[in-house]
Amino acid sequence: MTLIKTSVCTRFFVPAFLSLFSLTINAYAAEVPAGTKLAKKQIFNVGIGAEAPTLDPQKGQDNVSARIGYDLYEGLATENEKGDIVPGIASKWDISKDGLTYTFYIRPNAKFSDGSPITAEDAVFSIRRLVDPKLASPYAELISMVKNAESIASGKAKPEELGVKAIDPNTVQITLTKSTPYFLKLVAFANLAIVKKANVEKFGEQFTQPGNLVSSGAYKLKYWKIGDKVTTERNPNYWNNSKTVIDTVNYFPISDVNTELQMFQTGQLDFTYDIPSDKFQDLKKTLGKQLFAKPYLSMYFIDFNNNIAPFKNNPKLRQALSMAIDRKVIAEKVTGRGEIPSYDIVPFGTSSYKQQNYSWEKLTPEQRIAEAQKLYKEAGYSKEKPLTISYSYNTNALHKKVAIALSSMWEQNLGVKVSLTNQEWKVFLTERMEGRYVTARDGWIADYNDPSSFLDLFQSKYPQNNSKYKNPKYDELITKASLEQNLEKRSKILEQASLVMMNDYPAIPLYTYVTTHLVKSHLGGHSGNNPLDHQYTRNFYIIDNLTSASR
Amino acid sequence: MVSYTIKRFLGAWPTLIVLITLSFFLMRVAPGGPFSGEKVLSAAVQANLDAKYHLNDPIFVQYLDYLWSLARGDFGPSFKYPDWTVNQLINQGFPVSLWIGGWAMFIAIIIGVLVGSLAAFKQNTWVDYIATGMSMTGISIPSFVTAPMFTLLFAVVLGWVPAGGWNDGAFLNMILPVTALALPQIAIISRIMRGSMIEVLRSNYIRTAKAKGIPNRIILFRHAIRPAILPVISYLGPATAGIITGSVVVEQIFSLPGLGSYLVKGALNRDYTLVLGSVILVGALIIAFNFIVDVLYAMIDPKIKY
Repeated sequence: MTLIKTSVCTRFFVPAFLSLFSLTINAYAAEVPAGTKLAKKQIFNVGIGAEAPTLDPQKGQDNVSARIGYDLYEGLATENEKGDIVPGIASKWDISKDGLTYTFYIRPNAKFSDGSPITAEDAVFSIRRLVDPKLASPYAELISMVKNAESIASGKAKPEELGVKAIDPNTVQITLTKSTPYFLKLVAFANLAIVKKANVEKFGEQFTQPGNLVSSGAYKLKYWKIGDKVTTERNPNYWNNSKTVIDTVNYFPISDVNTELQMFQTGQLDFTYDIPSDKFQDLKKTLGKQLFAKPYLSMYFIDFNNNIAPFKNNPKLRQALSMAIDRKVIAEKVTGRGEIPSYDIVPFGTSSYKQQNYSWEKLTPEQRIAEAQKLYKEAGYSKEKPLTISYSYNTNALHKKVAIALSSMWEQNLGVKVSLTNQEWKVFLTERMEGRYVTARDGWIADYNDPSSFLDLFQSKYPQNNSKYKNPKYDELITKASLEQNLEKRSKILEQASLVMMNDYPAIPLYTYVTTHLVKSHLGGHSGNNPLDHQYTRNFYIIDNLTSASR
Repeated sequence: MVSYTIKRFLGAWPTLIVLITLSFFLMRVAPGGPFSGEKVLSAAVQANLDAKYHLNDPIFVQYLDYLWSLARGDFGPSFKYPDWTVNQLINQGFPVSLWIGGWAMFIAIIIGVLVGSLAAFKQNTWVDYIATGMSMTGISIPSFVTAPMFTLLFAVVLGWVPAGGWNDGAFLNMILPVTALALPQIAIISRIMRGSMIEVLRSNYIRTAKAKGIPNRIILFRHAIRPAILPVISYLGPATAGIITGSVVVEQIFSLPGLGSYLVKGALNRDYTLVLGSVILVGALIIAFNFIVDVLYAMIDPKIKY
């Protein structure tokens, strides 16, 4: 497994280029190498882990809905296989020098699956829809930087007042209230995909039903039965259909990882959503290159409740507990799927960001633990007067294993008495959000590839601030970064903010997750290099001369 | 008989109302709401969602609204699956559960009655010992153990059947789930049938029939099976409940789009309307089956007077 490396060029010059100049980059699709013999039946069977709650792009808030959504719909911008932003329904765009106005030019040949042209009016309708209180999208805040978006979501302004308008049938203009360097990544996000206005108005909430749905992406909906499967087939009217290879996609919502594995083994699936974590080493041996384990822009971390004793105003204790954990052991022995031990809350592979370090990271385990014991003592605790805390986690075999490892490391290295509290998912979420815990498991997956995806979580007024961390200096730096247009300067400010937060120890980053998939050898076009694990079937193809899944 | 049937029919309704009321309030008491997730929603977004689904109304108003919707046959919108109404979901899931459960029950009755009768006829022989041993095994091992074992053997190792999925109710996809559901019921029914048949075979009229030289086949099918099957019929009500609860597990293991999986998903997601819709339907089904069994019992057994 290799880490995703972000070169200086990728981190600074490419985004700068994207921000300042018009784009004419060619679109991306299946690039079939010369000499590859394609299978006659281009049917792709993929496990998606769970049922897609919705196929309405503006309502979606989960990666399963997005997985199908990326095939059914396209936004003004989209991503290539590596996750870089490339033109989608818009062939190019201009960004004003102040970074506040984005002008998108829709492709003349962009059509919906019913053959009607995709117009600027459809794009405007789709974006307005996301913030319309009547739709009540959980992701309405995603575009809070668009002019009037927040007022509309809170019912103080009308959706028509959103800073998005059609200049002409093929030109869309979006006005922001503050420069947002990652805005194009949001434009490519599933929630900003384009739906057909007339279709939504005709069918209302039922517009996503098979037979009703008119799609803007490479595929169109053929069948959807909850719990059974979703089937899509190629959209002949898609602007890049000539470079799309897979004809039919069956998405299976298999929530049991063992069933999914068996379906892969019996040839019912070409691609699994996940693998049973306890079988990673076995599968690695038996399936070799069919097992993909890649870093994911996500973080597994532990929250301290900074609002209550013993952690309130006690950074030494928080630091001692952080230092007493051997992240390497947890990543290698407890989880064991290639997770990357982490100290910074921003995961490896995040663009426009250099990971921050602690000076003690390089100490030997003995030195580190000695230092932790010293801090523990300074915080007022010892083996005679041990700290007693509870650790909450939601029901899950992996979380349980991590909890046991943490508690034994804290107990063994410092003498801390830890009681483990296992809670049902929704109970756990409520308790953690409302601060009824002492220490708790936490985790976060980036919505878009930007450090703000993670650093925003620790702002004092952010609803997601589960550790109840408050530091005006940190808030000030995050705000300053959000107003900074120079990408290099912005990165420096975010790195500075991160360091401030790290030295306050409000939480303990443990490791960067990996995504694990089983992928049949006959599936071409899949690299697994999209750091957000977004997959677009339009990039894939089935090779003929390899063992094929039953289809 | 008619007045008994009417009384039993009317008596079933209060049970259903209590079930609806209890389920409604218990769901609301559970911590966490339908929209709580890893991503914490802002106050404005939460308010918009609450307003859309009328969750900002007082709880008793919500209850009365729900009863009114129910009276019109409307189970409401699903919170977790906003593209679907609960009626649509039930229309999709219920036939799947009914199909699997129906087959499992049919097979369980046929095999259970035959095996039980045979064991009784061959009491204390190797046939009886094998049948008794197998039924004890069937009762002891739950579906969540047998189902993965069958999958491993028949799907992964032998490759005879698919490991999971519905595939529009294809015959091969049905074999393992139906078997996993039917096995415990076969075991129970055969046990009940054996005991009941032994008792019947020891009765005077069967002894008389044997003394008259009537062949065993005739004794079994014409004279013994009808009285012996009565305990099996009275078990069909609880058996339906067993099949339904069993299907919750089996549907999860085999990834089948039935009502059982909706019930589990609905409960975990706090999808109030989906859980209520599924519970009401399952409850109504159990009540209805118990009612039918009572009526059947009265019809079959002439000794019972009402």
